[in-house]
Amino acid sequence: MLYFLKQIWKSRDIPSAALLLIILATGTWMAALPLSTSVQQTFLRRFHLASSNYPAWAVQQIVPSMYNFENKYWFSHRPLSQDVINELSNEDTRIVNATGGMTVRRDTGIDSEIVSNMINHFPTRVATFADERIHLKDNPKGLYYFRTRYRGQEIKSTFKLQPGTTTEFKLRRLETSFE
Amino acid sequence: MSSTTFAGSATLTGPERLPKPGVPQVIVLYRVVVGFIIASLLWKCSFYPAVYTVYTQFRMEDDFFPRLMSSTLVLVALLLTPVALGMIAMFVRRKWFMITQATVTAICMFGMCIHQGSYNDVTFLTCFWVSLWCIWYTIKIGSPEKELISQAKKFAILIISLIFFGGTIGKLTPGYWSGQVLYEIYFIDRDFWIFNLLRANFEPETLRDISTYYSRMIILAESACALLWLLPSKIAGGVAMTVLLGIVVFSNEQLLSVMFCLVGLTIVALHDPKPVSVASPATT
Repeated sequence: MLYFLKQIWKSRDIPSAALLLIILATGTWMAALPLSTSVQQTFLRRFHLASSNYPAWAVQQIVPSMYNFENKYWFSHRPLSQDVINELSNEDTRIVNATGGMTVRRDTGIDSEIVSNMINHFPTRVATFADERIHLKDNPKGLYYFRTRYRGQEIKSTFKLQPGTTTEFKLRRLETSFE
Repeated sequence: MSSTTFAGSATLTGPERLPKPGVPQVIVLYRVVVGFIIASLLWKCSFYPAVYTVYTQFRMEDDFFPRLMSSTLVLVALLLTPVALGMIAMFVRRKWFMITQATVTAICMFGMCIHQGSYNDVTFLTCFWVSLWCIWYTIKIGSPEKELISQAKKFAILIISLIFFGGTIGKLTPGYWSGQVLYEIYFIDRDFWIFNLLRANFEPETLRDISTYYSRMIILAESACALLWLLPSKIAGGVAMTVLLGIVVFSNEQLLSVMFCLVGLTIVALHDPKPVSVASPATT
């Protein structure tokens, strides 16, 4: 491999140097993940669609990240306190929803159903991606609570879902914070 | 690879004509990779009509995504353009077309990575990286064949290593090391042969223990694959192929859409370059 790098350098092979540069830059950025708090926060913001702006988020989308971090969400028709979310995350009393494949916990403390699940990557997909978005016809209003953890970092976001027209829904971020 | 393989392909004329010796295997490798990108994009095609229906019937207005990148029509165009160009590329040898096809595919895959309806699907991320390889490769077509194939193998392994590195670095967290994340994603209720088998034969407590070993094994396998670039291309290709197929067999067949294009690169890494042949009368 070293010979390969030297060869590219000596031959002034611009296409090869460009590809190598992209690979090395991406690899270096990823290697900084376990080491730097600010890099961790940048990655976690990306997973919650909470980067400073869309272009900043879009640039990061080429960084490989399958099955990354501990991503969990809760969907409820009523606001949930942090205590309730903590309680739900520690319990394992879940029932598979036969219609949608979502994992459901029927709450014992408050009189509403709370949908919760662990997600492989991008927890916000439960609101935006097709296989979950189809459930909006049954649950057009509610609150999404997202939590993503990586080592010592934890990001939490709350989104409000509201029906717009008969075929349109509105997703609004209420807050995003680090712990 | 026999040069007659290309009988029926579009022929080149004028100054753009590529040198005959060495063209076939170089182009075959390119077409193999493009074919696997198409396979990646079409693997879940039975799912697409339902996706289209949901996206047109349940539009999601979200301040974060620009309107263009929430449009279902844009999503369809970003998906189908690379498939159409890739299929044409199976029959065309013109260098400018191959470069265009690779570049448009990379742009469309990046578009899929930043579209509201597809940003979460890693299929488009792996296809994007493989398309970058295709851009580089098609630009280099025409340079000495032996050197090109040697470099192509190294870049193929570098990209595969990078993808695995991305997988493992994000799992270096207690939830994965303890197995809890994969326990909740796969072991509790995922309908797949290995998890159905385990649930049928073990108590929940034992399943939880198995998930710990399963999760750690994945972290170790991905970490090892992130270092594939240190190995000779052929060995690295063999290891990568085994791990890629292993992930599909033991995790989730839907992951084939993510893996197919990487299998294309692995085939490049495993390829034994043939000696440069002299054009035969049968050559187009």
